[in-house]
Amino acid sequence: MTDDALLSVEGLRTHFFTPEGVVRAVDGVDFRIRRGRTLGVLGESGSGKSVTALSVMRLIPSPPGRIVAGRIELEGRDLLALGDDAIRAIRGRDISMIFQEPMTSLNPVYTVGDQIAEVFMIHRGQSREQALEGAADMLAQVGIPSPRGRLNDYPHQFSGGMRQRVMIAMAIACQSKLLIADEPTTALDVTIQAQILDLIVSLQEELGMAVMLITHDLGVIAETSDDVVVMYAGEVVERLPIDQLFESPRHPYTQGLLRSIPRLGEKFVHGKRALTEIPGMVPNLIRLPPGCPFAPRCALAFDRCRAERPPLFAVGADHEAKCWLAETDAATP
Amino acid sequence: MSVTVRDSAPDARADTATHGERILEVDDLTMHFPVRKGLLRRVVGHVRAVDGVSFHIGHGETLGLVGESGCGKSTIGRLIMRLYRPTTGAIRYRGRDIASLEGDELNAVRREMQIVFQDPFASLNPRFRVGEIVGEAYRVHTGDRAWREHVADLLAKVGLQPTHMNRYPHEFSGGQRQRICIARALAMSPRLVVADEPVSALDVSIQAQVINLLDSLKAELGFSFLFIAHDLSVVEHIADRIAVMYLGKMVELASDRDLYQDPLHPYTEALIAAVPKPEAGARRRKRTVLRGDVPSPLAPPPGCRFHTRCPKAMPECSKVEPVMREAKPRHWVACHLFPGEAPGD
Repeated sequence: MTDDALLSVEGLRTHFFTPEGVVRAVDGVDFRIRRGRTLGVLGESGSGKSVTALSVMRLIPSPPGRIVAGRIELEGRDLLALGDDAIRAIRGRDISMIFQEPMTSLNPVYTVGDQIAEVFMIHRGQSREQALEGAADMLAQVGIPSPRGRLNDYPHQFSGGMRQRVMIAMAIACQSKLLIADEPTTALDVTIQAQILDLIVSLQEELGMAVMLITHDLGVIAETSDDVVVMYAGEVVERLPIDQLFESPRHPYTQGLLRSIPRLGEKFVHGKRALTEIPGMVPNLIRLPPGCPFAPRCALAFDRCRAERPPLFAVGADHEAKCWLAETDAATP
Repeated sequence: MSVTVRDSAPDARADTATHGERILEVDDLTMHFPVRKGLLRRVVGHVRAVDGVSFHIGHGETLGLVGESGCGKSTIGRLIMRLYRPTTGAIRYRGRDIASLEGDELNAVRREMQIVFQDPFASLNPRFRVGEIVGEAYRVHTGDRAWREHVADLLAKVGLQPTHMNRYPHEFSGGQRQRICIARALAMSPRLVVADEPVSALDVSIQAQVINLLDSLKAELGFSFLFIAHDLSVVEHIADRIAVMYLGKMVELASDRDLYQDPLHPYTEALIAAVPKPEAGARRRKRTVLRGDVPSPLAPPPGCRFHTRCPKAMPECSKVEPVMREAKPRHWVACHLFPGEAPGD
């Protein structure tokens, strides 16, 4: 798995220094993204999934934020060691990113054509005419009808789903190796979400790019990802291939999430049952408990969980869980 | 003191005798919002948010209302609460049309209906303590000096501590705030509760808590329930019957089981297919993805409003608007593919 890693993140810690205290937004994140594959990052708000993405892009606002520890390597190059110019050349060319709300990521006073063309002009040094030609091709590739005619339209003239297509067009314009998509369909209706997820999956297969897809939705993860990392309170608590996520999750948080969501048609098979709740609430990142951050909500927690943070234990092929309960499995190979 | 919650069973029987089996009947309801433009704010068109919708809610029943943004589902919730006055149509609450009530008469009816909104951050006044927020209506309407005890009981009922009464909303998480909103809604022992996307602003691990809470409160207190959401999985979990809306129209209405196992309207089918399946192998699943966008409610397409995106559209679909028909027993659909019984009542 290490061999074909495009991006590897090790021991990442990104903290925010605020008057109220240090917010440990990302506090121990390790993962790898394989070439041409999709890594799903599953987490709730405050789990650190977006801060992880921004750390990879080196877009953490500083102050108050700072990457205080860790390594981020793209094809063996340490991104944290790069200067501003070097990282700027990588953004958009090697790694591109799309966000939840496309309207806030598009400039309302420039035409969509100019915004996409800019990518070609900056990274490829093309003329405006060439670049606009390329922009039209991109719009066609993401399924926007009559692309040439829409080059002169402004973002507000597009619907939410079409705007997200425009963002994707910009993101794939330079055939970047990695696309980071942060909740790309959360603001969209479910029928439009299906279109955008299909588009991301098919473009990925066509272009061979790797995707880091950040979401809180287990269904979205299931329909897009090859590998999954589950985040909780700034940490990766479990890493595993997609099929194992549903068949043999090991972390109590992952298990709890899977049991807590209603599934279509379930009640006609098993009869109506109350959903299995995860008690309590997401912890405050300024005052994290000393042990495992999930311990206060975990039904299986014992004394050690409350005193000591567990490391990631290998529990199977490509499967690791940050839980003391996984330690026994890890000890016996 | 225990919460003076109306014992629903005998009440429902009494209601059934006088008003039939329905607590609410909505008949041909229409809500057109004017669109104004220019210096003179002239009306240049109307957003046809709700356009001729009829349904009923039985005593103690949970009706789920599902649809995508702009389909009119929230507008219906607000019309029932009479936060808007409908353009046309009737809203019969316990047999009485409340569509045009005003003043004291409206207030009297409103006491029996309560709404829980999507955003628990926006719907709690930050300058009031939780006790005042939850107990205000009860205190004003009953004059009960022991109102704090009533509030304490309500807070316990929704899974909060009685001591939380003295705190302010900002001290609570999203899930807890939604519990406060629910406690407030229950303070006057409502007969009808409307919940408009009550869990979609909450974290995934908190949603199950609030869904279970609403479900168990409903079973315990026996109120009738209109549950509005975009998430079909959540609606199906909680509802007895489900109504599907598209662009201001109701397109299908059936029991939870019939809607899932035998969806008739092509839009319902597409909606079910579009829900991402949290299961192994979902990535390799082949499904029909609906093309195009939802048209503008300012100028909805002629004929069936869904025909522009419908994979099964026929020539007549763009010309003749289908009406709701009972295609199968107690299973209503507005689609030319199902020329069933025309509406009788």
